[in-house]
Amino acid sequence: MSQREGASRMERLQGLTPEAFDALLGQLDPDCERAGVLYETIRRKLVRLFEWRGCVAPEDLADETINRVARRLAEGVELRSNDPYGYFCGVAHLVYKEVLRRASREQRALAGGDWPPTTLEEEEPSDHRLECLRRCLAELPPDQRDLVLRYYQGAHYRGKSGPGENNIRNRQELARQAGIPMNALRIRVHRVRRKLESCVHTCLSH
Amino acid sequence: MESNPNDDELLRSYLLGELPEEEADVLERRLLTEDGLFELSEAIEADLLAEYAQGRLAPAERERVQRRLASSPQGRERLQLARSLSILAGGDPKPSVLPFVRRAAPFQRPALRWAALAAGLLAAAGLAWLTLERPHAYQVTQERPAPVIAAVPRAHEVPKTPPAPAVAPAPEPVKAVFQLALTSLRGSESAEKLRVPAGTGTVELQISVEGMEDLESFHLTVRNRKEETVWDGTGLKPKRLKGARALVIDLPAERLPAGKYEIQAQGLAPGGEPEDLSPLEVEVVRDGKG
Repeated sequence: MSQREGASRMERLQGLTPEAFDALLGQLDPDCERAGVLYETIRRKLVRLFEWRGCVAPEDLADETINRVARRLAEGVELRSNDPYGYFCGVAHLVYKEVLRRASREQRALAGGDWPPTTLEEEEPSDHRLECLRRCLAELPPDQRDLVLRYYQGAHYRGKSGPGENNIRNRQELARQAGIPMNALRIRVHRVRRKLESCVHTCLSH
Repeated sequence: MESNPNDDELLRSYLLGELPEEEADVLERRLLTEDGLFELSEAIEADLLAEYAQGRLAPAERERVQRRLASSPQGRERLQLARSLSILAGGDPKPSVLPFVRRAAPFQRPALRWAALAAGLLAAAGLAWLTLERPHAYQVTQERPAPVIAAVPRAHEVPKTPPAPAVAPAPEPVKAVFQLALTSLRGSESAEKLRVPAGTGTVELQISVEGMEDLESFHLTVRNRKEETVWDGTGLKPKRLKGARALVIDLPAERLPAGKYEIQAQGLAPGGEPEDLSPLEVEVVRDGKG
């Protein structure tokens, strides 16, 4: 890991001493570069776990989790070599429970007032966003573009026997044509989707 | 990736917040450790967002996705991507929204529809009398001086605007947009005609649900004359189109060859039982080679 990357990470890990940060990386892997990659992987996964739990500020909570782990490591706690992630998971759960308690207190405070319920804005994608997505789709290799569009296209149809029947059949057919299991198809489509997500994000920010 | 055949169901339950806490904790430990499982979880999350965007989730699941997967800024971005992909995969570019003001009163039995028709005729007679007595009282009769029945605005027409066709021609050949209401005074010739131009990729139906503010979500089914389901959606939430509540559904044009179709609808009030609404009959007319 370069000094610049290390400094950037340090900014995120507020309140951490350099020793604590080094202890964290050292326990992830003796090799600094590999430790940096592992650190980023753990952080990304923690962010997603907090998102999947419905937390509004998942990045802050992931950083808080890592901060606490790093501080405990600096105090002498060691990660188990056969389950290095277990400790992160345990601390993340504690952080999540604190979030729940805080949210519960806030809800009690709000319950006394006549606040309108919050609802998700059902906004249509803007023309600019659609245009960005069109461009990004055009940049994909044709087979990937066809795959993702067919995957979403089949979702419009339903069969007589139940919800989503035609959608399932469409995806089974796609998987059969590709010669892969259904979950592998899902992941393949998801990887294309991630490319599109990144491309659209770049396009929208310009 | 080492995968358990039950992993996708387990992950779906987890993402919807349906797993007991202990099982969720165990799964999260696996998610941190197993890269393949983590990636599958992201893929299933994206599928759930797509189902949400396409209105294919049950109300309870919809609420869970809203609360768990689309509450962070990143989650909302992913939802927008899902919406955008659904639109483009349906073959349509710019969704066009037309002014939409229609009123629909839910009828539950055919007898009530005939009663409504009778009431309409009585109203027409009254209106004709007023027209004869006071020629300038009603603008609509000035615009429609001929048969008395024609002077009565039908339930699904816009009363205060110039007579507009019951259906709107597509502004661009790629997407055809039609405005409908869930009920109409039905007779043998009263099926709404939807003229679909050649080359149309997507047919968008904007179905008014004005007057049904108590109903929070809807289930729509489109069936052809052979009773085959062409499209089905549950948990549909009305959108605001120029101030009016309407359900918006997009169907690939290829699924609507020329012929008659029936749109069946159920509305659901919070905490209530599904309420059957009067079905709507439409007739698709394909222009040119479409």
